[in-house]
Amino acid sequence: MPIFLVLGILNFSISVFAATHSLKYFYTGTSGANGFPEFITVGMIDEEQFTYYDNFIKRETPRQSWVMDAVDPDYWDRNTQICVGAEQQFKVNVDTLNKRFNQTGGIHTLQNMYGCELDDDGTTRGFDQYGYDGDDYLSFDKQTLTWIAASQRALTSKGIRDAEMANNQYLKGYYEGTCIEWLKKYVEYGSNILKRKVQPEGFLTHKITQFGTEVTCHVTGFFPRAIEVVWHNGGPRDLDIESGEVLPNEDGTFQVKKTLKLTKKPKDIKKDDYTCRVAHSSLPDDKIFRYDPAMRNPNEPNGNGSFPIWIIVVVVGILLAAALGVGLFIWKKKSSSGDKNPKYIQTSTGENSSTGSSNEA
Amino acid sequence: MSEFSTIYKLSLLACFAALLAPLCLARCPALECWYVEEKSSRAGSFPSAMSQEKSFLYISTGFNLAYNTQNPPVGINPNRVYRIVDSTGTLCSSALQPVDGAVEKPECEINPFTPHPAMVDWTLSLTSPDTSPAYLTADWLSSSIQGLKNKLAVSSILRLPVGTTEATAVMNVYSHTPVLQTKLKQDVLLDCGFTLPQEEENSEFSLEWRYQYRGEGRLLFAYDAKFDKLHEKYITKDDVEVDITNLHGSGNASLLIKNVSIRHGGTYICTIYRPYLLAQVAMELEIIEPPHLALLPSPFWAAPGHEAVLTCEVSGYYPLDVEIKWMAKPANGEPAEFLTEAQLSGHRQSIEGTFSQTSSIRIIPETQDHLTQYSCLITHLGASSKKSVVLQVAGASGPSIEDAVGMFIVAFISYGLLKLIYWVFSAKASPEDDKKDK
Repeated sequence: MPIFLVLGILNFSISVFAATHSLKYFYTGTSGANGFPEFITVGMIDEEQFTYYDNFIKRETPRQSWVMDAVDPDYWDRNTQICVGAEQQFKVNVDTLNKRFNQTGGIHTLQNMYGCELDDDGTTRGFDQYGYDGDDYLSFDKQTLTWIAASQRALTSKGIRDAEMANNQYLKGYYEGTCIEWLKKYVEYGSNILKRKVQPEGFLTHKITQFGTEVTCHVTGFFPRAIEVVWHNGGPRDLDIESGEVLPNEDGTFQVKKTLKLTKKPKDIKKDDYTCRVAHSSLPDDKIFRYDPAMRNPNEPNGNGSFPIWIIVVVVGILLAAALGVGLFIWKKKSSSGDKNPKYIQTSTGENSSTGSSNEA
Repeated sequence: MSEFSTIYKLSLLACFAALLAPLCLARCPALECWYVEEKSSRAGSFPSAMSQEKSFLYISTGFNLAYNTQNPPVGINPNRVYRIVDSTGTLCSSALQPVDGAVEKPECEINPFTPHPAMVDWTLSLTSPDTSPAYLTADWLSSSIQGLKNKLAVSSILRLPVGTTEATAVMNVYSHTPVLQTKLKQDVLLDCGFTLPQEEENSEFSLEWRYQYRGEGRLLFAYDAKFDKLHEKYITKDDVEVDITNLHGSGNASLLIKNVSIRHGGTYICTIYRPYLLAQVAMELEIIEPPHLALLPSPFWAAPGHEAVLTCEVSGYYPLDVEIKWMAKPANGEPAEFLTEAQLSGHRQSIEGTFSQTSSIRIIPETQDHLTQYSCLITHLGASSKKSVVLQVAGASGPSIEDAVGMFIVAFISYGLLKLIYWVFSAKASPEDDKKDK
C-alpha cells in the first residue's frame, strides 16, 4: 500500500521503553491507475490495520475480530458514510491538483494521514497531514493552530484554513479529546492482541567477505514491533553496523537483522569481543548474544571449497596406488615365503628382476 | 513623436539622477499565469470548489525605459490581465524571463489573498487586535513564480486599488535554491531573501524557518525583528544558523546547515510575516549519495556443470531507490543479454543512513561459457554505474596459479612416493634378486 511507504517506513527512532499507542487513518486518492481503487481508507491501531474501505466495496469493514466487540451496531454505517463523503472530495481534489500542477496523465496520488498518539505518561499528539504525489502538501500544526504549506500550491488552502479559527480549535479538541478516547477504547478491547508480549529469539551467523568479517544478529518472533538490537564491543568506538527493516512474520510477530561489519578475519577476533544486545518490552532483562569467531553457522557444511578438487582427487589416487603397491609387495613377500603359487610369482619376480638387471646394465 | 522623446529623455535623466540605472534598464517579463481561486467549502474539509482561468502579467519596476508591449494571448479575460509594479526589481530577474519560442515556461500562479493578522507568537507584535488600517482596503493577490530550471522562486503579495488591475508588489520572498542537491557532510546554504518597498525601510517583520518531511514538521527558527527577539523556546537543537545581523540591511534570511546528514533532507519553508501579510518560499534539500559497487568473487572461477554464485554488493547510496540489472556478454561475439533471474536481498541501512542491497545470480557454466563477461548495472539518482567480471571456466584455458601450485604439490608428492616405493622395493627385493641370480 503506497501510503505506508510514504509515511510509515524507516522509523528507526522509536524508543522501546516509552510505550505509545496510536490511532491513525490513511486516506489515499489515486488517479490514472486502472483497476486500482481510486479511493482507499485504512485504519491503524498501534501500527496494526483494523479497518478498510475502498470505492469498489463501498463499505468500511473490520480487519481485526476484536473490533466487533468494541463498537456499537451503527458504527460501520456511520464510518461508511464518512468514507463515502471523503471519497467524493478526494476525487475532486486529485483532479484539481492534477490541473494545477499542469499534469495531463500518469498516476497521481493525494494522501491524508490523521490521528493521535498517547504515551504511557499521558502525553498526547495529534496530526492531520496531506501529501500530493508523495511530497508534503499541507499539514495542521496543533500547537499554533495554523496550517503549514510545504508546497507553494498549498498556500491558498493555508490562507483559507488559517482564518477558520473555530474549525482549527475544533480540530485541536478532536485530536486531544475524541481521538484519544477512541484510541483508549480500541486498545482496551484489543488488549489481548495489542498488549500481548512475545519474547524474541535470536542467533548469530557470520561470513568472511573480501573486506573482513560480517556478523549478523538475527532476532525474530517478537511482539510488539518496537525493539532495540545493538552491537557492542565494550568500547566507545562507533561500530559499522547495517540495519535491516523490521519485517512481519506470518504469525503477526516481527523480525529484524543487524549486521556488524568488521575489517578483521575471524582468526584475528577474540571470543566475546563483540556482543549483540536485544532489549524488548517482553524481556525482564536484555538478551545478550556473544560472538564466537570459531562458531559454525546453522546448517552450514564445514567445507573447504576454494582449493581445486582435482588436486585432492589426484593426491588420494596416488596414495591409493601407493597403498596398493605396498600391499601387493607385502602380499607377494608373504606368499613367496609360503610358496603358495610359485609359478605366478616366478613370472612376476622374473619381470621385476629383468627390469632391475637392465637398469643395472 | 517629439513629445514621446521628451518624456523619454526626462525619465532617462530621472533614472540616472536617482541612481536607479539597474531598475531603469531592467527588462521585466510579461508572463502567462494561472489565476486560481479556492473557495472554502465546509469547515475542516479539503477545499472542493476551485476555479482556474488563464491570466497575463505585465511586470515593470515603475522606472522602466523599455515597456514590454507584447499582446496577451487571445482568449484571456481582460480583467485577468494585470500590470504589476515591483519597485525592487525582484520580479524582473532574468531567471523569470520566458525564452522566446521555448516550450518550457516559468510556472506562475496567482490567487486572491485575504490580509489576516498572524497568530503565532513571534508575529504578535506586528498587529494590534483592535485596529484595522485603511491601507488594507484594497484587492489583494498573492503570486508565486518559479523560474526555469529551478533557478529562482519568488512569492509576492500584490496590492490593487479596489476594482483595478494595476498592482503594486508590497513584498517579495524569493530563493535562488528552490531545489538543492547535496552529498553528505557538506555545509549547505538554503537561500532565502525578501524585499519590502524601498520607501518602507522598516523592521516591521518576522522571520520563520520550518522543516517538513513526510508529513511531520518542526520549527527551526523564529525571529521577531521589531523587538529583535529570537524565540529560543521553539528552537530545536539543529545545527542550523541564520545571520541576523545581515537580516535588516540586506534582506538576506538564508539558512546555513552545517555538516549535512540524512536527517536534514526534506522541505524547508522560509516565511516572512508583515502586518496582516505573509509570503513564503519552500525549498527542497535532496541528499544524494551515489552507490559503491563490488562484484564478488573476483576473479570469477567455476567448474563446468557446477553452480557458481556471483554477487553484486551495492552500498552507501541515498535515496533508497536503486535498480540492479545483470547482463551477460558471451565471448564468441553473440549479443549481450539481460539476466532476469537474480536474487535480491532486503535493503539495509547504515548508521549514517545510507542504504545497501545485494543481488546474486546463479550460473551453471559449460565450457563454451568460458570468458563470458558478466556485468552488474546500477541505476540510481546519484550515478549510474557498472562493474564487470569475466567468467573463467576451469579446464577451458591454461593453468591458473592455484592449478600451478596444485601441480607442483602433486608432482612433489608423487616424486616422494615413487622414491619411497623404489627405496622399499630396492631394499627388500635385493635378497630375492640375489637368490635368483644364484
